Amino acid sequence: MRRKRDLFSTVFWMITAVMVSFLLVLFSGLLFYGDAQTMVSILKHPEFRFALALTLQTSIVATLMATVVAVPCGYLLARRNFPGKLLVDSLLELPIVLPPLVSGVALLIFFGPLFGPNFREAGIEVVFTHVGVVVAQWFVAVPFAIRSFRHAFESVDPRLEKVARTLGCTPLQSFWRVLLPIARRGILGGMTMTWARTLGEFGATAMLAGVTRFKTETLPVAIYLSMTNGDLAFSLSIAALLLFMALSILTAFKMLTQTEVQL
Amino acid sequence: MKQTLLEVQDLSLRVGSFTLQEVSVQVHKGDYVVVVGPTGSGKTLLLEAIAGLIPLQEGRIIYDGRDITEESPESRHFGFAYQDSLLYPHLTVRENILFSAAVRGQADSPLIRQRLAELAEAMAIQPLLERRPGPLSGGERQRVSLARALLLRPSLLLLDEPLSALDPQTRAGLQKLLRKIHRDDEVTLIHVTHDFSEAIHLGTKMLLLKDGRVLQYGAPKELFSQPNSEFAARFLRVDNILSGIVQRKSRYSWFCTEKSSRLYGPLPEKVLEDWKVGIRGVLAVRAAHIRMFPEMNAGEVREGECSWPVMVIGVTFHGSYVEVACEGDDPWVIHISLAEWRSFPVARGERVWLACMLRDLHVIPCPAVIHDDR
Repeated sequence: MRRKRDLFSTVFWMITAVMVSFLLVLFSGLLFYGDAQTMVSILKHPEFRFALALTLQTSIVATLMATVVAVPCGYLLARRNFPGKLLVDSLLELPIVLPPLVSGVALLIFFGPLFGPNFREAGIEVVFTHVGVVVAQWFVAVPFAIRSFRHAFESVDPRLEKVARTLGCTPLQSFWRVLLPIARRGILGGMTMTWARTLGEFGATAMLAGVTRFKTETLPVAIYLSMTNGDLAFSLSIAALLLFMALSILTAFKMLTQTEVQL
Repeated sequence: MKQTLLEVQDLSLRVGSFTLQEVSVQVHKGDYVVVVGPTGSGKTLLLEAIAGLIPLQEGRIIYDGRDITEESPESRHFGFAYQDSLLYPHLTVRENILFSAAVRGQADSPLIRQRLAELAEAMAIQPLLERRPGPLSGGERQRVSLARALLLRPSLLLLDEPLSALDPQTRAGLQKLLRKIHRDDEVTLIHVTHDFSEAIHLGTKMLLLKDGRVLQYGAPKELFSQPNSEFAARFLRVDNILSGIVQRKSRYSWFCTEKSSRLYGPLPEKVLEDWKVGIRGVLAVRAAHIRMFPEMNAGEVREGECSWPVMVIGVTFHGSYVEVACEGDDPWVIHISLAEWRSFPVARGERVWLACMLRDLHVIPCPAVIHDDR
């Protein structure tokens, strides 16, 4: 005889089913609302190609930069106790809860009136340039990387490193030979999700790098520009591509590493 | 005289809620030191401090006549193995064992290859060398962990409860292996354990820690037969602990229990050397040190024994021995072998006599009032 499902499970299952259905309809709408032929033709459009190339280039550089910063930050937060750790932790995670527009304004002030002349003297122009796009994407994504790397390091028993020290490793060698290889899945997962975050970055990029066609036009900027011009077909094509990329990244990551992403 | 290998001098440190306070221990070459103590007494902390994994707040560590207090763990060359083996999951068993050689760029040297073959044979892990550690059994993992720690022939091996997570059969096999390593490889060992039979079986010295302090350090037999405090007696599972006072009577010292005023003794003269008459203390007697005989043979007390009558109130079989609970003037528990039990099977309610060698009447002092009726 089949057991009667209790009210608790029924309600929870129903809410989950409604949410999953909603997402399916929502994303299907994005994919199927536009005309397929127009979408394919837009993929060959020079503006789309520019936006795609710029997005890939800047997001990869931003992800690598975020990794370089997030590895030591995540390691220290996972492994060391120091005065003011809570404050440092909160500060490093602040960009997650900050609206990207606010981050963008802060970056604009920093690279503009505050230190802009110094950077310019050093030959680095940040505001309204490709560099600005990278900086904005990096700034918004780096807290995600720190958080996920921290979780990755925390999941490794610290005694494994202690044993490595007794076996002749210096702290750097035990990090390189033991901690990093064991935490690699978490690190790769964190990098993937950081990259996904940089791909969709818009608010801070718009503030720091501006929304200039064929100059600082990343895919999200292209969606914004085409929507303001009323070009719905162009927007839909890019949105569909971003959706496809996000889905591919998440699925590929889960299949390859067989682990959950910790953010 | 044995040469001192390791000397821990007034070591103090604190990590979170764990502390070590003024710990001083001397380890000779060839010693097998077992460290025992309740949970949180600082056993692992002591091992990690000796290995250099935790900086000392006070004190010094002298190794082979050299002050190594400030030296890094990697320059101390001690072997270390934890309870849960902690093999590296991204490396094969072979790579795990060769790890210390690989760090020094010597993994391919013929000497190291020969050493690996020796260890693999001694630990019976040859078929596992190309496997990843994940699916190995607890015993296999621990053997690999020991091989990894022993690869470069450390003269000091530190073991943190390496056998505690294993089943009894595997544990017995590894105990044998550890004895062999100690005997054949001339390794000095410091081994943290909570298993008393393991401690007695393996150790040539025993260190008892409590709340981060050394409570007693000596040969395991000495600690088991002559614990120096009531805590040590209870922790080392002395079954009969009676409170009372030492009295002087007819030129001898006797232990007068609180509950019954019965006098046990005369006490060995060593007791008088150790502490003064009249000080309150406890009488600690191991259950295995007491023999039982029928009431009708009450006059047959052997030389150097004291005896007293009791009534049997409970009998419990423990497989290899029988535990008999008795109540006389004081409560007593005794352990007798199955052979003895077969020749003299007592029942609840039966009256019997107990006897104990005077040298096994161990009195532990605690501060109190002087009382002497000489």
